[in-house]
Amino acid sequence: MPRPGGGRAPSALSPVVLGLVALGGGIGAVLRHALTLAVAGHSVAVILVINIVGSGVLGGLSARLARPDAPFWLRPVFGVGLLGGFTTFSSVMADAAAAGPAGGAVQILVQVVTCVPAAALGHGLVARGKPVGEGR
Amino acid sequence: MTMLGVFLGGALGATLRYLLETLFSAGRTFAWGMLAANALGSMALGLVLANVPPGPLQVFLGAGFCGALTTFSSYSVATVEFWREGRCGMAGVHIVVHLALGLAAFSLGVSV
Repeated sequence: MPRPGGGRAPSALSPVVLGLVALGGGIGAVLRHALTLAVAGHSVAVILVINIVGSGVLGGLSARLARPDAPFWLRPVFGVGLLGGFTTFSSVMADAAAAGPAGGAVQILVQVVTCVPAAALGHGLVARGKPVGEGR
Repeated sequence: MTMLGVFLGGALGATLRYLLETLFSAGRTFAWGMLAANALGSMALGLVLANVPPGPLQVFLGAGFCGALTTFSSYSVATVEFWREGRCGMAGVHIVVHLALGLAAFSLGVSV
């Protein structure tokens, strides 16, 4: 199948793809860190909002990536890099451990019951707006 | 300077996660690579917070590298994809295993 823009997509481990992942990951991490600094003292809430937004956008992006005309750079730079690096799992673990068993369990539960539906909503909005097989 | 550290740490973390996902998730029925990234990143953050004093190095390693090595968005989307494929049990396993392993790994990192 010809790709948009012509030419073959680089392989999964090519330097171009790794560079796109690194670029997106760096930008995502900087955005996340800047937000936690901007709302200092509320890191648990900030990380929650970051993870909800990132999950929703990646849900929508996953629907776009399922279509055959998705450009090769879309997943590495925005999916794996930017959104993967913007959202975080390790901070959730650290905050939950610091909050103790009860508080930590509540924090984790809130993350899961908000981020997973956000991803489903994002996917549903994009998949419904542009059905598979109908092109752009 | 701090933000440059976060950028570099994030670039390294995301690249390592991509390598793990490409090597251990692609074409498999369970996203082992993502699980490895979230568990390793959680353990690494425990190590960093327990052993590296607050400052640019802690931010580079913690907010940058560990933050980007781990991911919540792919974790959420993978859950939705399991559910959409009708593999609701696997969606539940995926949710619980990441959390259990992540918490255990973080505690291990803190206590090492």
